[in-house]
Amino acid sequence: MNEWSVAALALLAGLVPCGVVCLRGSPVDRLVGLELAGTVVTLVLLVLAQAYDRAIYFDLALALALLSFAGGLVFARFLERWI
Amino acid sequence: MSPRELAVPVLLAFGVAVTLLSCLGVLVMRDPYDRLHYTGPAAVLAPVAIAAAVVLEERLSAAGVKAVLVALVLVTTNPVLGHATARAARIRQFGEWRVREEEREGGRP
Amino acid sequence: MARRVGFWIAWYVPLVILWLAFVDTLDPAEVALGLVAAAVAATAAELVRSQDLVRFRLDPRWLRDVHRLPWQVLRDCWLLAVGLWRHCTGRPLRGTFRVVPFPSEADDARSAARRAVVTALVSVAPNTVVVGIEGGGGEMLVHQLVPEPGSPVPPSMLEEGSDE
Repeated sequence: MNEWSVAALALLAGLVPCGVVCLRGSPVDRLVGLELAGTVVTLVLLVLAQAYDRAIYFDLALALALLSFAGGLVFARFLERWI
Repeated sequence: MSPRELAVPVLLAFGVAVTLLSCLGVLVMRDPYDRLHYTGPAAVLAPVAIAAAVVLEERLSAAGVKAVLVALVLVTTNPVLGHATARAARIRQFGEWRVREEEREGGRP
Repeated sequence: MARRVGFWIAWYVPLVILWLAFVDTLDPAEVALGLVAAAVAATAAELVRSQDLVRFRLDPRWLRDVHRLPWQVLRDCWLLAVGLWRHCTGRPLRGTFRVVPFPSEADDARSAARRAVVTALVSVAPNTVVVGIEGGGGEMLVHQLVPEPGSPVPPSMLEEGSDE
């Protein structure tokens, strides 16, 4: 267990508040929780890439960062009027 | 322990602390607009700190370059996402996002 | 035609460099695949650009104050941390909407780029989020968590300058 694994575990704990916000509150509150969860998981993947010495996790983190952004924009657009 | 070996855990701890504080902020704030502000530190400050830790450990190898790219993507996309979400929240609340008269004089709508 | 070729090359070269940075090898098969993939992507990018769907003209002078951003981000993160502490110890924090002057009446490529850049630059620092810019009224609507005096707009972006 190195400092990167400990950091990844600690970051994972941050998903609990995000999950609580996603479960309760208005649709926009839930979107904010989802956006933050996407960021947290991206950071978890970044840290796990170092913890397990697997370069492919960097590519996962990059893909997730880009797709979370696109997904967040789509949700924001739909939340304006249609959901 | 060399300065580089010391800097890596310090930067990691800083990045993790900022992220956890952001998560706490999103949880305790009441307003979606107020919650939105707390996504900022996790998406701007934390990735820079963690990418710096990766670069210190891996130098500018493929791993370092990718970590920097991830940080760059998060830093540049978060402001756009924040703006889009705030705008969507306002349109949802008022039917349009435009300035309201009471806001010109200052204060909450 | 020369302009299109120029844009194609401007996309192609960074994409090839990005590919090589990602695969981290100079294996001939990987390099060949990267050259082909970058050519496809550069062609797609140039086809979209030539549709003229979005007209954007950046002015490098707007980025004169970008060096202040890291300090602004750190300062805002500290403000948010202090605000969170206060909120959790019985002094609730409530953000407010603010109207900030931002002259932006034209509707051309330069003005569109100016509005986009200022939205991104102001929203990077966590304490302020841009909601919208009303061109006709010369006003920018922002939401601030911790109220701050003065305008969040970087001085280099306040001058509207000459347009096309």
